[in-house]
Parts: sequence; structure tokens; C-alpha cells
Amino acid sequence: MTRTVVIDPVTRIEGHAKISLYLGDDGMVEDARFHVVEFRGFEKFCVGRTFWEMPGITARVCGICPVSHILASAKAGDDILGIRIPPRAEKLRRVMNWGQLVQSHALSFFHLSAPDLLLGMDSDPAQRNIMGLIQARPNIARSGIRLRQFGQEVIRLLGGRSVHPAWAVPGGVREPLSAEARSQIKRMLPEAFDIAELALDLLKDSYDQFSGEIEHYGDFPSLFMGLVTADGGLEHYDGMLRVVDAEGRILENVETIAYRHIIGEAVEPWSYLKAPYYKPMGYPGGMYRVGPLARLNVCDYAGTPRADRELRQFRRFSPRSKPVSGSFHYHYARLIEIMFCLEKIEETIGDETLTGSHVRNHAEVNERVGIGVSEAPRGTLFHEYKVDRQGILQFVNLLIATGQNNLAMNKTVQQIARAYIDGTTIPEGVLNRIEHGIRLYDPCLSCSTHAAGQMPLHVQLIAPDGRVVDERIRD
Amino acid sequence: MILLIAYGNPLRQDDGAGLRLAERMAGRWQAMGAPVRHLAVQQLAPELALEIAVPDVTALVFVDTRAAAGLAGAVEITPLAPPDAATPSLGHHFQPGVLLAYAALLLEGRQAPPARLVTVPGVAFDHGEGLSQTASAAIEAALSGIDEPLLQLIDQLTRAVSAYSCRPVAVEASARSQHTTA
Repeated sequence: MTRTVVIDPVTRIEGHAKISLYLGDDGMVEDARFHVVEFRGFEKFCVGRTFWEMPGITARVCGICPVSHILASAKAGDDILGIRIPPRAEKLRRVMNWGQLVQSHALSFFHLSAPDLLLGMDSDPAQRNIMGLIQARPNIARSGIRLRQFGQEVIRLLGGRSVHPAWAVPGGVREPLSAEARSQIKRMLPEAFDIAELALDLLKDSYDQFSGEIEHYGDFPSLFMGLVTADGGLEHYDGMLRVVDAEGRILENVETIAYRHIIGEAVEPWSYLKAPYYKPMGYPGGMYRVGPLARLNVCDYAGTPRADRELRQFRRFSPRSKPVSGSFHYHYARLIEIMFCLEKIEETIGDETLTGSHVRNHAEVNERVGIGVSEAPRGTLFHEYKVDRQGILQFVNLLIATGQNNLAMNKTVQQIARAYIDGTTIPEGVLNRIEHGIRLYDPCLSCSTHAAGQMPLHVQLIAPDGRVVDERIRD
Repeated sequence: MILLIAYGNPLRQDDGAGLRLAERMAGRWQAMGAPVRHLAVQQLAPELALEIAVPDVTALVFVDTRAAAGLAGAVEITPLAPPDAATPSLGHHFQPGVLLAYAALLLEGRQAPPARLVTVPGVAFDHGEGLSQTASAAIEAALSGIDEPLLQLIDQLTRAVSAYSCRPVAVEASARSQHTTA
């Protein structure tokens, strides 16, 4: 008989982020299930609208990474038009995507994970939060705001506003980059580089404290998936879809249009979140991870000097050219990507022709199916649309990063719970550890809305006879 | 200047009620000649502290939706202050009090502007546009004067910012709004 531990955050949306831990008769955690808000609502909601509207509509899926949805949607629209966008427009879209990766990763590191990383996993819970960080390390908190502001400013300067910039459209982008905006981005870059270096130093200096976390926070063999350039470099906007196994063998290196041939989408009755898997290995054996860790594991090199230097250090965490398997290293991967993005922005902004006016091509509906793929901060994002002759959507499929990490997040929670829950009591700090384990993947739990109030956790340990034998509530 | 920050998702029904109310509040302030800056965002993020921590901002109002306990409720106004501690969040949303703390950090010793949180009761948060009867009725009651506190707040802040600044009134309102209508 199994017993169940339920961790139930109370939020505005029912069923939002609930964690169930299933204990076996030996008192050890047998399984973990992490439930998050559904996304299929958006897929149904969009049917009947025109594909032209989709960048604007799907941007509302998320308040943190709307650019990802805008870009994937615009790319699917490019497919439907059957055209190539102007090279300048592609460069500008890339710059916006890099800006978004910077702001999103800065949020994850400085504002969500830094209290644990810099104040210590076992520090006083009353201090181990963002308010404690502001008091203990004000310069770090301030730097986090500034780096995030940099990314948001890049998005605003390109798209006219930082949230939901309806700027990337099928065929290209609406507005070119002004010379003044280009100069402003250039002026902001040195401080952003300094903060990225600071973050890398902070993380690497603290690694010695976290040997236990590195071992227990999602260290398991799995597949990894992400985009790479044609010659295997780190890629966030286009390129080939690559899958590597736990030994580092390349299992797939295919055009993104072939994603349905390699990715299956399982649905579980206990969660609205899809559970995608690598088809040739079946479900759930085909578990794969996406996001910063996966991207650094699937690429052969980064392609910029500072990021490549860090990538070489990063790969020392795994011997014999195997992928780095510990999810704790998502933090490091995220910071390497920040550095990479800053370098790419600097390189691209240096192009004198970037401010030219031809940024959009025009066409009517030429294809009935469009597939747009890009790398969102949390992982590979797929938008697939089927339209009628007038461009009215008949079918929409969104495959988001949080869903693709669903199986890995469950596995991570299970691993942490097995290490820190003995089956009879819930030790102090386990809520924080489980939260941190989930946060490694930086999941978009609030993609479709925002929560009201706090997100207190409630953990109950229930005996086989139904008695609550232990309970912890975070207020 | 009054800084009005509304947040929510208009494609999640009542989740967008705060956005709707804030538009109306901004319109009132514009009509009264009060300097107001209106930001509409999907969720609160740290860099909004940079908007708060500027000398021109003398009053700060957040407008949000709250999950109502029943099918009836009124717009509520509560004073805000930085919290002593913040519960870690699994999501990416920030609480307005934490933004005040960030703003205080950026102000480096200077006092953050007085802040209030205005909330509209909501009961429907599924995918879709439009507001429930509960949210709509609460907004109308608050703005028509049936519920006095909101109009009192609007008048009070108008007098406060007028007394603070003798400069010609500049209405910025939604010129830099990041409102999110689909």
C-alpha cells in the first residue's frame, strides 16, 4: 500500500502547483507528481482567430517570457506565408530573444534563487527570502534589478514596450531599430557584462557549500534536447533540433519541422500539464530535459569567447565528454547563457547596417501549416498552426518548455524527497529544498495569470490508515 | 505624480479586473488635472521598482484582482509597506510590498512614496475575455460613489499631488502605458 504526502500551494488558480509524494511501505518516496496550470486552454481559445493575431494573443500566455511566444508565433506565421524574412529582421528578432534570455535568467538567479544560494539552504527561513537578501546583500539585489532592466530595455527599445511587444509579426518585424536605440543598447552593455561576471563569481565561489544539493537535486541520466546551429553551436532562434543521450551520443539532429516525429505528448489524469517524451524510447522512458542545461549539453561549442571559456569549466562537472547530468547546474548554465547573450548582442549591435528600414516582407497565405520553434529561457518552444485558405486557425499546438521538463521535475522532486524525508517526519527545510529543486527548471507556473497573495506550502504526511502523522505549513 | 500600477491578465477574465478599474481611475485623474502615470502589466516584476524610485513619484497605487470569498464584494483599499519577510514563491510573480522594498533599496535612504493596494473582487479566472458580474458590479459601485473609499482616495491623492507640486500639471497617463489589450 502507498501513502501520500501532499504539498498544496494555495493560489488564485485552483490546482496550481500542487505536489504529491507517494511513499511506499518502506517509507521511501516511490513517485512524485508535480501539477501545474494547464495551457491547452490557450490552444482552444485561439482556434477561429487569424494567424496574424497569434503573436499578440500568445504573448499573453506569459508575463515573463512573452517574447518567446511572439517569436515562435511569428516564425510559424512566416511558414504560413511561405517566405523568408529580411536578414535584418532576423538579426533584430535574435537581439530581442537574447535580451529576453538575459532578463528572464536574471530574474531566476538574482531574485528567486539567490536567497538560497547566497544566504545558504539551511539559513534561518525568516531571512532566506528576497527581503533577507535585500538586507544582507543589497548590492547583489540592486545588481539583479539592473541586469533585468538591461534585458527589458533591449526589448523595449526594439518593440516599443517591454511587456507584450507586438513587434515581431509574420514576415519580419514591424519597426526597424533606430540609431539612437542602437547607441543606447551599446551604452548599457558594459554594466551588464560586469553584473554577469559578478554573478558567475558569486555562484562559483559558493559551489563548495552545495555538494549535497549537487548530488540530490536532480542528478540522474536523461536525454537532453535543444537547438544548435548547422555546425553544432549554441543556438536560441533557429537551426537544427538535436537530442543527445546520457552518454553524449547524438540521437537526433533534425529540421525543426520534424519535431512531431521525435516528440510524443503524453497526458496524465492527475495533471493538466503535458508530459512530452522522446518517441523512440516511449513513455516515460523517453524523458528529456530542455533549457539552459540541455542547451549547453547538446551544443558542441558556444561561439563567443567568454561563454566558451565558461563552457569549458562547466563541462568539467561531467567526465569523459558526457552531458552534465545534475540539474543543480542549471544555475551555472543560466549564467553562461547570460554571458553568451550579452556577447551576441554586442556583436550584432556592432553591425552598422542593422538600422536599415527594410525589415518586413509581405505575402498572403501560401501554406496551410506553420511551425515556429525557438529557444525560450526555459527551453525549446514549439508553435504549430493549421489554417484555412483565409488564414483562420483550425488547429493550434503549443509545446512549452515547462511541460517538456515535467518528467524531469517529477524525478527531481522524488530524488530530493528520498534524500530528505524519512517517511515518518517532515524535516524543517524540506519545503525549501523541494521548491529549490523545482526552481532549478525555472518553470513558468504563472504563465497564464498571476497568483494572488503568497504561495504557502502545506505538507501532510499521511499514514496508510489515513491519519496525518506529520504536517508542515508555510505561512 | 501619482504612479498607478495595474496588473493582471485580461485573457483570464476577472484576472484583468484590476486593469479595467485602473483605466477608469487614470481617466478620473486626467479629468481632474492630476499628474498620473499609468502602467498596466501582466505581473509585477523587479524592475518596476525603478519606476517607483524616482523623485517625481509622490503617491503609489497598485491595482489588482483578489479572489473573492463569495459572489459579492466591494473594491478594497489597503495601505502597503515593505514586508519584514517574504515567502519564497514557486512562480515568477512579485508582491507589491517586495517592490516597495526594492524601491527603498534604490532610493538609498530616501523614503519610498506612500502606497496603497486597491483590489477588485474576482470570481472567474478561466480562459476568456470579459468580467464576471461580481467584478463589474464592484467596479461600477466604487466609481459611482456607492462605495465611498475609492472616490475618497482619488480626491485625497489629487489634493496631495497638487499641494506637492506647483508646476503646470502634466498628464502622462497612458502615453507610456503598457496596457495589454489583445
